[in-house]
Amino acid sequence: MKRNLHRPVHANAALVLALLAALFVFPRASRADALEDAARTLAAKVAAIPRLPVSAALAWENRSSLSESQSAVLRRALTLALAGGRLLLVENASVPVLRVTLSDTPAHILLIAVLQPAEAEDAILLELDRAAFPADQDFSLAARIERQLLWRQPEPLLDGIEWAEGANQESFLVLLTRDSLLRARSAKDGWRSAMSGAGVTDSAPLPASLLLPWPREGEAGFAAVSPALPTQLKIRMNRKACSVALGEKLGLSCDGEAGGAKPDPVIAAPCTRASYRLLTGGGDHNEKDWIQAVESVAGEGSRLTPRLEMPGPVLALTVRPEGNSALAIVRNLLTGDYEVYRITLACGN
Amino acid sequence: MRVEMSRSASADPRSWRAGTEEAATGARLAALLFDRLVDLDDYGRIQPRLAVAWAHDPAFLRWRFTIRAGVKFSDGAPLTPTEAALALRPLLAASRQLSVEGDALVIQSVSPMPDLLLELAAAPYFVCRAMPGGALAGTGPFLPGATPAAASANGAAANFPDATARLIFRANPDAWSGRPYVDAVEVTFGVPAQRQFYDLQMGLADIVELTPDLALRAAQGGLRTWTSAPLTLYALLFDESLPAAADPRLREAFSLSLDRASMAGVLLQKQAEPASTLLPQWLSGYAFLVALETNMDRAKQLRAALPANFASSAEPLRLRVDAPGDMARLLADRVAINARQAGLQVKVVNRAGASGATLAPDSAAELRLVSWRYSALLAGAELDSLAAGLGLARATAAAGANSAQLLAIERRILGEHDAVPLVILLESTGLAARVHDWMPARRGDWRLADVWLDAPEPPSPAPLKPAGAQP
Repeated sequence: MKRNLHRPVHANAALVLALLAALFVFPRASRADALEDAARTLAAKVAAIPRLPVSAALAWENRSSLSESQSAVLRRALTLALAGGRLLLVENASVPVLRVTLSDTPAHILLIAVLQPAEAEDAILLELDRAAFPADQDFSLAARIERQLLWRQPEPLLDGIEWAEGANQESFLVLLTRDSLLRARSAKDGWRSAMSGAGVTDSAPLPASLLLPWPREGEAGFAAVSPALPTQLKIRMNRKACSVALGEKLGLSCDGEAGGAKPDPVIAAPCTRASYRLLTGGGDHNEKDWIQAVESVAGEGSRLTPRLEMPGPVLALTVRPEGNSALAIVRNLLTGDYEVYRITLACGN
Repeated sequence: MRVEMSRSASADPRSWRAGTEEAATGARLAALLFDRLVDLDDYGRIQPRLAVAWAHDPAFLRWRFTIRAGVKFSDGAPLTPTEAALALRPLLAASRQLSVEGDALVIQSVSPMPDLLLELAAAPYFVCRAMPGGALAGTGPFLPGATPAAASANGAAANFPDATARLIFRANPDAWSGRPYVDAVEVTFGVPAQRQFYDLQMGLADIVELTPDLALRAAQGGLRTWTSAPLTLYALLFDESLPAAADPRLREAFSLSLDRASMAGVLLQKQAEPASTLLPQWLSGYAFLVALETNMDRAKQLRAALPANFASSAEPLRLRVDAPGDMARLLADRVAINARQAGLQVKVVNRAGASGATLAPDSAAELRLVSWRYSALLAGAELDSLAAGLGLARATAAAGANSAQLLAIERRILGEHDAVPLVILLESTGLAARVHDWMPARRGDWRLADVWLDAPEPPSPAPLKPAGAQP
């Protein structure tokens, strides 16, 4: 284990609180000032462009590490500064476009303005010291999505859930195919396949009442999964429902009640414990899909992780009861196989 | 932790040649053994390492770095400002004066150094101490490497499949930054790419370098992969001392004929980005403003205006592949195909020593395919280094220039087609499933001290034979 190098802090609690308050309030204020100063400087440089048109449309792009909220502050400030100058910003396709891009380097944030149509030689580049725009604390803990392939098989898979059982909390997969339930050991060190039979511990055929009409991919799967009752699963297929008992043997009891709606796939980030909702592109089933996680932060819009491209359409996403990961069922367009990925959030780069 | 690398390299920063893959590999090894005064984190913030505080005068002519107290080199000697000065002296420009002031190292210059922290946060500015005999002692998270045989004698595990060069770096229990998680890093050098891929698949390696084709295969096979920012530039250089290459119309026709998107997307399987400038977007911030697009019609027009014997079948342009590796040869072949579509005949030749048609290193060739591995964190410093390393005569001093000036310098080089950028390659790394907390910098630092591994599973008991079963 790493040594803990931090010495215990013994300080007056009030003093600590005051310092913390100063830390959080004043830097934000000065940061906003720096953004507004930068916007005014850029507006002045734009106003000095020779043969400046009377009006232009503003196209804004943030390619930098500044947060979307910082970008929005800058955009508002630039719009205000330009309004007080010689250039009228309008939304009109027939006028020239003032294209403003936020970019960055290890040393600087760059504010780049190009009035189009024009050559890029006419670009205005404004350098801002990175130190004036420290990353938000939340941003520095930004989450990203990771995936691990756990299972692969050529036969269609409709849904899956990961499960921990026994005293050792060994991980199992419960997989729903078109005609049966399958329980398998989750691979620790790479993927497994039903072809080899390795890892399959149990299976149970679905009752005939669930099988007709033939379910389409993505339209059947596990319904409500309750952390309070982690040994009971509900299957939703063709507007019918079955309960699955995860005992020593898989048990199925179909009472005909409609299954509950599947909850949104929400998982927690390990660094901040913040909850992220998983999104997919939801495109056609012959296109590659992606998974992205979104966290809603009060007053600051949504924070998004980068998109994680999957090798095919995502057919189902089901969160394990503990809420720390989800299973994604994907049909790999390259191989035609159905693949099961564990989706987790990780922090840092 | 078992790491495999394609090439061997020295961890001594004084031996690195800027822009080479050997220097990049050396920097990865050096990061195991040595520390810098400061580091740059993933969010653009300078973090203290061997310097705990720093200050500068208003003109940025004088910087004072307070050296961390209580730090020891691996040979037991204490870290002092004098040791830091001795280590950095051969690495810094001669115009930088180093002196010691109490517990601080002072760096002075007659010209302003506003970005000195970023300069020191990049390779090769490691602090190491030369011991008698030439070996280097460091303050890093691992102790200097031993050969497997020596390590075995010391009780360390060393079980390798064959006899390529290997070093074992042991965890430094007294590292000021805390003991790393893993007990040792076993680095095997000179492992062919296919072998690395196989070893990762078979669980014989934890971290391997992946070539673009194998990175794609690894991802498709469900293996864990990581990709860096674009780090290695591939470009063409013209030799203007030769008549054909001296004609600006030929150079422009050549540049217009190149299909960079296809090179990056198809040939290199999206493990590269088309290059429109010499510096990548992440380093310059302005690369997106420049577009180098294919224009075959214009290329053919320019070709038609050239003397007929230029780049003809009888007198093809010679393209010498100076960049190392099979991928460079593939790129050169693609360049020749593109050029041929514009009516420019190109013959690809290798450097002496490579297989196939070869030219001696000093033989004349109108074109050279070169590579450049970025290592600096300052665009101006990198452009200067690149211009010097590749011999770009028209490049003016870029260090200290602002972004607009750097863009102008690049435009001048690109406008004259002195150098024609092709693609910038990303680096891919394959990771075993048992590797955790892999948090490298996008610019390529691996940060192995933060990585930990799943403990190996205890051996399972031998299965019982059914009663009465006969073999």
